[in-house]
Amino acid sequence: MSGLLALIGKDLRIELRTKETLASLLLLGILTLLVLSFAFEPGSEARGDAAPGVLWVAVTFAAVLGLNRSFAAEREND
Amino acid sequence: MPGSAIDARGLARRFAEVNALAGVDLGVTCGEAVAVLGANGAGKTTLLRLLATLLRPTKGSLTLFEQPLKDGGAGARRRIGFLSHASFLYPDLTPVENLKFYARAFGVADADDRVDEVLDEVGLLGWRNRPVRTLSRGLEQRCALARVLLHRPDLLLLDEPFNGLDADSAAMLTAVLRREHARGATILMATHDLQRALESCERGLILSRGRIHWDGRLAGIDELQQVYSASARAS
Repeated sequence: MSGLLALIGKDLRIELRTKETLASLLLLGILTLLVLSFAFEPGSEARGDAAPGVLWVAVTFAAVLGLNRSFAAEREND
Repeated sequence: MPGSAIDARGLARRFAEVNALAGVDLGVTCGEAVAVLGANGAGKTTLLRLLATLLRPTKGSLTLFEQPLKDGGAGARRRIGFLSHASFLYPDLTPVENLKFYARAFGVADADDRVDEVLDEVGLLGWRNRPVRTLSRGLEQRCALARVLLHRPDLLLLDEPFNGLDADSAAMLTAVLRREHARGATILMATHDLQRALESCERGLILSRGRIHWDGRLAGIDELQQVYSASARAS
């Protein structure tokens, strides 16, 4: 558990210092929400129903991107 | 009688069509200091990466500290310090932050004191709070050495440790290796520098085309130069 906390702490420290991944994640999240919102008629009932799903899609994409960035930092040393 | 630190039988590693290591039998007892010599592409780095459990052998078996590596080496890794071509340091963190991370990962009990101790040992206290990316190659190498020493490993695997070091830093590294040897650590050091090998190790082995071409006591530079040249001609 201590090792896991050390790993999380290290990744957060690096991210807070560089803010490289954070900017990419925000941009990806906003773009995903924007693109998916075009698929629905403005003001339609379906748009409201789909909103939670669209949000989770954006979160999942962003999480995968963040995970890849985190692994890439370790691979550089391999 | 000292126990066995390394027992490798028929250790082989293949990368696509290339046999990087073609069946190495190697026994090293605890407390020995061994220089691994050989030309570029002889298999030195592959051997060290296999011993560090960062690579799996294509063939053969490896036993570290009389424990076969059944769990992929997770248990043995705590007893190994590996200095590689890559520093294994995070460039956006300072030496102190890097070392504190590794200290927690290795479960070092007196982490803060130990970090200061190893930074002092490698002469890096003055650079302790500068991001690693701003350090020179030599200073980064010193920091990587501090990482290797941090958890007081029983087995030091050093791949070209003198690379990038100036004369003072090289002398510091030689002194560190002697202290670690006196402490009882087992050392395997890959190097091209025969003089450095003689200064730091009592035994040498010469790799050629992925096999051990010569294995013996290191006596003098002339004798070592002769066997090294003979090995280079044979390959």
